[in-house]
Amino acid sequence: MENIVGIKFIDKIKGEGAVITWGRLFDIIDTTELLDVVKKRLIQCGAKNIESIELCYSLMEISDQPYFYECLVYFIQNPIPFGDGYATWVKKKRKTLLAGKEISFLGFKKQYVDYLERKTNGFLPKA
Amino acid sequence: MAFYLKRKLHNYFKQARISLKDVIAIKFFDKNMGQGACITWGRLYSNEELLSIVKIECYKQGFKDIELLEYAYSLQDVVRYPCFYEQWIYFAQQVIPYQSNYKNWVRIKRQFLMDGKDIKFLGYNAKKINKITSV
Repeated sequence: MENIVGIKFIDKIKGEGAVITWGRLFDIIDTTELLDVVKKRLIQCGAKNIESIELCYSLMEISDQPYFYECLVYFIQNPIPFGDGYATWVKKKRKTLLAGKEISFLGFKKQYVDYLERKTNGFLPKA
Repeated sequence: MAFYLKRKLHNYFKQARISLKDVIAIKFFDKNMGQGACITWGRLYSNEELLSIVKIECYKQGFKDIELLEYAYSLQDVVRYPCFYEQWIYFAQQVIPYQSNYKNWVRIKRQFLMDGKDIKFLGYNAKKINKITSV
């Protein structure tokens, strides 16, 4: 698993969505615990009927999500202290994730596509 | 008085928190030059105030016949413009000091926007954008 990971999911009602968060905190390989934590957080974001949830191969997979660039900035600005401080950092970040923080929700793609469709009929005349 | 101060403090901390609207994109359409967009700081001015500041800056950049000017849904909305990554990195490299000195940072950045700085244009190659969109 990578240090920063993308997790994509499908909600029965709201459709496709994704989050960015820290990887490798609970387990280096097994994603079960991380996905459980993310699932709990997603309820707060309005995704209450999750059909499927999975770890992405890379961030590229979710780079077309509505708030991808806004959320990625946070993870770029907070470098991981590899070396002496790493164990303490992992402990701290585990607590943060369990509290539902630093799981950045990238918005529902369906809402964004709807917006684009509305715009096609109104704003930005064809050049 | 205590109630007033408590409320003021509450509003301050509510504002000094990470938000999806800290960095925003604005799209526009110029009669002569076509589509264009820029990235800037959100939440420093009201929506209308910021649009008028951007409009003035657009004029300085040569977009003199602006027909439409509006907020993008998110940065994803302007990702296909030629200079998106260059300008996005500029904002990504700047950490907003939520923990301390936020008020001062807001004051400085408000002045920056007034001076036309930190309004980063992404290019206006309308033909190229249409080509990418249609792929």
